[in-house]
Amino acid sequence: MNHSLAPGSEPILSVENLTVSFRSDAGWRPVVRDLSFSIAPGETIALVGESGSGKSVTALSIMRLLPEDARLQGNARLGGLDLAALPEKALQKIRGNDVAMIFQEPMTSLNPVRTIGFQIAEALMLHRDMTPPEAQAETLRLLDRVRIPSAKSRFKDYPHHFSGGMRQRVMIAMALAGRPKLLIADEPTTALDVTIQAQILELIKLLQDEEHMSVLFITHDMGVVADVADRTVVMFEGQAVETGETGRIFSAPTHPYTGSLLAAVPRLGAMTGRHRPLRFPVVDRVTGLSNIPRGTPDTVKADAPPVLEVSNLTTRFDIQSGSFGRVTGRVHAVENISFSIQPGETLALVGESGCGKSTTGRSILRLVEPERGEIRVDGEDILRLPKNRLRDLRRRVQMIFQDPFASLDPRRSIGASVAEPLLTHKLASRAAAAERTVALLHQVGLTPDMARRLPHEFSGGQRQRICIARALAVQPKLIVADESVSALDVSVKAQVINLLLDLQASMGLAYLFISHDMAVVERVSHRVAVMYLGEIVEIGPRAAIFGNPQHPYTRRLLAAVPVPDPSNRRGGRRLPEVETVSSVRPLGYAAPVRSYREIGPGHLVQAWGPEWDVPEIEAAPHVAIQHDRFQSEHVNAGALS
Amino acid sequence: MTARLRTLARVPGAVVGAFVLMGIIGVALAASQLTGPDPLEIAGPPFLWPGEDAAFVLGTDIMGRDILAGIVHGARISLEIGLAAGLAAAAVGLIVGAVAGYFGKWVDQVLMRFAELFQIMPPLLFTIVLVVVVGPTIGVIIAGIVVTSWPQVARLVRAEAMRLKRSEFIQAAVVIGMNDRAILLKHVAPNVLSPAVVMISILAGNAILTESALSFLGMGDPNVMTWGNMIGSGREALRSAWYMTAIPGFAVLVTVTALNLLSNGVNDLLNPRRRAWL
Repeated sequence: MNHSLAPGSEPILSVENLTVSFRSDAGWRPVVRDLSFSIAPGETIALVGESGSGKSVTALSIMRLLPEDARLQGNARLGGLDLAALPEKALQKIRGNDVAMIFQEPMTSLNPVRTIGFQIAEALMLHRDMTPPEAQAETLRLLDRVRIPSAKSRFKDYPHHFSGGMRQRVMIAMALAGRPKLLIADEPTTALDVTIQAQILELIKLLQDEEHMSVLFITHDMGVVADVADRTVVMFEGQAVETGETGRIFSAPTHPYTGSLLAAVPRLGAMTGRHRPLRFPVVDRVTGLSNIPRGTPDTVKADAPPVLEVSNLTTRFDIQSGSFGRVTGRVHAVENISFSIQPGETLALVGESGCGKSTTGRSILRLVEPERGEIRVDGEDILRLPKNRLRDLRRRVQMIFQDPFASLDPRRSIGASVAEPLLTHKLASRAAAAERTVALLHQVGLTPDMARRLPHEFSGGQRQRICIARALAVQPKLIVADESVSALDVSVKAQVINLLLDLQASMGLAYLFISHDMAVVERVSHRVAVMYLGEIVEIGPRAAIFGNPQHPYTRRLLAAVPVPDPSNRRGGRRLPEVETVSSVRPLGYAAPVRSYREIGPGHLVQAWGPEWDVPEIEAAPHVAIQHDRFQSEHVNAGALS
Repeated sequence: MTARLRTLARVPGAVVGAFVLMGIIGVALAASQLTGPDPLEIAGPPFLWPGEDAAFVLGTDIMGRDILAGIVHGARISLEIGLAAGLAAAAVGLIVGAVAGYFGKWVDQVLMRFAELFQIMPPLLFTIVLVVVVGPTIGVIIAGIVVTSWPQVARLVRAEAMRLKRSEFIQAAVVIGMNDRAILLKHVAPNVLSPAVVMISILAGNAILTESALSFLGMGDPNVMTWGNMIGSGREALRSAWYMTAIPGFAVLVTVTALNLLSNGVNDLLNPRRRAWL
């Protein structure tokens, strides 16, 4: 963050009374209303808000990338230029040169049939009139700037050769190609794992200092805001409800909505000293008053036989290639894991994408067929169940998926969806099922008259409630919640979690809570299992995992979680530059035999090898050296294709 | 309902197609009332040009049959063939495609190889062979068209079913404990119906064309008056009295165009709604 410019200096971007409306059947519908803010040189502004608050539309309207049926009113000035009045030709010059943009999904933003080197060099030739050899040399320099290891050898790689984090680095390199004064980053880390997110945020900050760029950061994540932004604009239903220094917004929010948003943000470490899960406080959006969350009762039946026992579970997928479908490798998605869940207990399964946590959940429901191991539900080994007796299993274990919209049939009324399990298992007659449906909808906080509506008439949070009601219909003992709150807005997330906790208290439900979000996990779980490359590396009581993490991976995961507290920025804490490793193995690969160490009561840690002794790398000097090397190497670099 | 009418108005092609088709259906239904009950009957002197005699607005053919009566009654047969073939092919394709796409693996392999067996046969040639072997009746002609055209629908439906199978609501149905049959009937079928419905009108148009081509080659059902038969018999006098081929030819053109317009429109109508849903 560069504060070297005198206060009152000319802003890079100033937006005044911006109103954006979309044409609808009922006339012009404003999605951004009367928005004003400005960005000083070198400053980072965060636009934060929930889905539908108009933050992305604001970014698109600055770039004038709105669809044809949108209307733009008000002023947006870039330096001395009025962006709203510029002809399309002049805008094309500005896009990529003065203002660059990076998006959430780095895969779809890159052309899959061109090498990344070609794509960056193309941007350079376009924006900076370089000759092909110059562009190639500059491309290598840029790849180096965004800390892509061994940039030269990756020049001719295609986007699918890169991981998500690396692709986002390529996108940033491309954005830097035009030496922009302003970088608009629209949810750039939302699709990435926490450890990768931390690296990308770090990189953006570093580059901002080096290039003296201003950054407009669009996000829904208060943790990210606290980490990067100098000033913050909080948006709600198209309006800026609060604008100010990030520190002040977090410590003393003036608008009730900001208060409610902040109260709903789970904070890592907030649960220290507590033994049971805690409900989120409910904040009134109008008054800003928050209640003190009522405590949860002790639901865990420790002496009862476990509701779920998993031992030595292994699930692998074949990778076939060639025209004859020869098996050339295997994804070791789940490798020899064991755990158990007591009635009324929540076990959280955490880890990053590809660690096998979802496959574990799906194996338990036999949505995928495990290779070996035992899964006992109520003492009965369900892997031995013949297919036709699986219906029994599905009365005892239910699942809630990540995307509530996708998990409801778009053509069936939600009443029919909720009643479906009852009718399938012949638990009720049609009339009785209708009655039960009403009761179930009521139980999850919906009204019975909603039963006739179709899924698209509901909001995301309501849809997830419907899915919960459907799962409850057969009165299961265990619910596998696979990233069930990850796609929801913060305040909605808090409500759904409260609902899950209430249901646990009233029905004695056990949960297998699969999530990548450490802060949420800390809030809801009794015990936590950390997964890495298909294996459980650490398992134990929640307080032990969060308070006394042992395995290097658990520590790295916890260190990477963005803290929604601007006074406690990551700043000096450099994270090791690690790449995601995949669990694809060659045929005949024998998984190493693992041993576990008991740290405390019920707290087990996998013994780790020397591969975890990575020194924490300081990025900066390393880059300077590489930079020189590439300067001398580009002499023999061939012309671009 | 009014909202739906309004969206319909956004696809003018479909509206035009639907109106034209409704007109043709109306004419076909009232055929006997509009003209005589039997179009095969010799009604007047042969080779009357359209407009030459007020009693025969569209003239008469080589044998002195009323061309207007032929067109009107032929509409009935053409629509019957089109509709029957379109519906049957769509139904077979829907079932095979949904089953293949949903179950995948060897079921998919077997069904799709089977479908390819029919797909590689030239539709017209296959129907000709069938007609030669079994005999030229309307039923045989319809069967020939259905057998060669259902794989198109099956492929389309299969792709959609494969996509659906991965979607979470199908997974949710599995978790609920529904069996494959129930999932196919309650969740997969309703969601793959719209592409199949769109295909019906395209297939109907193709069936009408195939029947016309067969009749033109003299292989149609000689006992009923179809547009194809009219074109076929007019062929002999093509140079002296081209109107005998042109008029039924124009009827085929209008009907097939109307069907295509309608299917394009239905496609447009169904698509954005689906996009808003997913």
